[in-house]
Amino acid sequence: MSEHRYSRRALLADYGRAAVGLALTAGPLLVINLEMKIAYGLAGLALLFFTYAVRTVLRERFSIQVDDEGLRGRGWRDTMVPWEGMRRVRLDYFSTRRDRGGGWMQLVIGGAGGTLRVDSGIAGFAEIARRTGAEGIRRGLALSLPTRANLASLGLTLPGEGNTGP
Amino acid sequence: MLAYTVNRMLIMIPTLLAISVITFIIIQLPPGDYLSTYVAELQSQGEKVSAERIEFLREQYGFDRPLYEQYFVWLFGMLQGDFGYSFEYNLPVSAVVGDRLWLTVIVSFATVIFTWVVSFPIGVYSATHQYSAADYTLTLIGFLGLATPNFLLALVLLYFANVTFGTSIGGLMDPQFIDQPWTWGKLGSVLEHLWVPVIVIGTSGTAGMIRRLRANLLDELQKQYVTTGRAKGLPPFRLLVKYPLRMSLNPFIADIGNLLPQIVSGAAIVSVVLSLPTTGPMLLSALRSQDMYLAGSFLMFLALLTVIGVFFSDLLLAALDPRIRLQGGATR
Repeated sequence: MSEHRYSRRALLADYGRAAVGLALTAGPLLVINLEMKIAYGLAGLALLFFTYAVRTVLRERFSIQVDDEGLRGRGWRDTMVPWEGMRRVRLDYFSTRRDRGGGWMQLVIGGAGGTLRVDSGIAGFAEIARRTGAEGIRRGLALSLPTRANLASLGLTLPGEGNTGP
Repeated sequence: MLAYTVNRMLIMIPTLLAISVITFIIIQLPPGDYLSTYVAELQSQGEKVSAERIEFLREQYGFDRPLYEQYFVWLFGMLQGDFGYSFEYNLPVSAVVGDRLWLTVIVSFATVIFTWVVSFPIGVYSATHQYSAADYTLTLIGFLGLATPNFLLALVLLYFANVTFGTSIGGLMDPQFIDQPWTWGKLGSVLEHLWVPVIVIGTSGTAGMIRRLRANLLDELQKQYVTTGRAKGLPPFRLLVKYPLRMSLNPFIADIGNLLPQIVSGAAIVSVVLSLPTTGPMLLSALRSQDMYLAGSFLMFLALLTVIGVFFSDLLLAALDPRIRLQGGATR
């Protein structure tokens, strides 16, 4: 069995983003007498950054265990997705750059016990993704073309992969 | 998607701040200021302006303050809904701009919708019926649209509307609605006049989009996975819509960020020709007379449109194609 947590560095970067975002949006709300439409816009953005901060706190407490039975997410709520009960696997890539470089991946695993979401900030992400992808293929789950392409980029050999995707 | 949105937002906010600094510097770059232009204009008309009066005006308009102070007054003013004072019109910028901003938004969005609605089916048809008579005809029309300058098309339409139908198609509403509050009648009048500027402004963009969609879709249709799909017996329409069409949309979506400011700024000459009460002609005049707060507000509006457009196009691109792109530009 292996246990994985979000790295301290990734969490600190997330806390930093939330703090900078809150300072840039909630700061003017508190200090300046803003025009109503601009105030609503900034309040919406501040709420977004606050939600992000809360999500980061939850991530700090989150860990995922991978073993022969399945995946178990531990945090404010425990979720167990057994390999046998796995129904959906999706691996997406997001980038903040126009050339689609320098981004991160997000793995979504759905099944009988609920849905687990982890992104590439977690230690051993590639290992979790490869194992999940391999279990998904073994069980005949339909994987989307982006998921297949992203799994291949992590070094997972996919059956019947002859560069037939777009 | 939350992390993605937050990351994009964190890039957008400093980007807008940097643009506001650059905008302010660019407005200040030409020698002199609005006051020196104003004084030169008065002197050319034979009027004498005393040094005390110039000094008084300089102080009143805040030109005697350091540049950074003028910038911060402008920036914090914008956040409070005060976009500054237009020296040329002797009115607050918000009062000068009035309906023009909304009319510009209406014209721009109508043009974007026109461009997409017309170019999408034609581009798909041209690609799926390559080298047919219809493809050649549409290609010819596309090239004509690309090659015709917008303002020329506007002049031609004005001429024919006047000579053939005896009507004037200039402006964006009937004269009785100008400077009146918004009513259903005014909205109806705007919609009635809207088709001409939309066609004039949207023609070259539509032609460009048709060419790009056709080329992208042709590239996709020649890939192996399409041949495989055909060989496996997939229905042609489903095969087309499921992947090739989706992939060929990427450049369309990536272009959204540039589309809005291009339409707003590119329509300036057309607006002059068609007497449209939009922001283009006013921006042009504000830049020429160094009416800095008016010009600065317009430029910030354009920057905001660009940044928001790029944000939405990035969100759509991520949703449309969430595949990793490996170094060297290849997608495995």
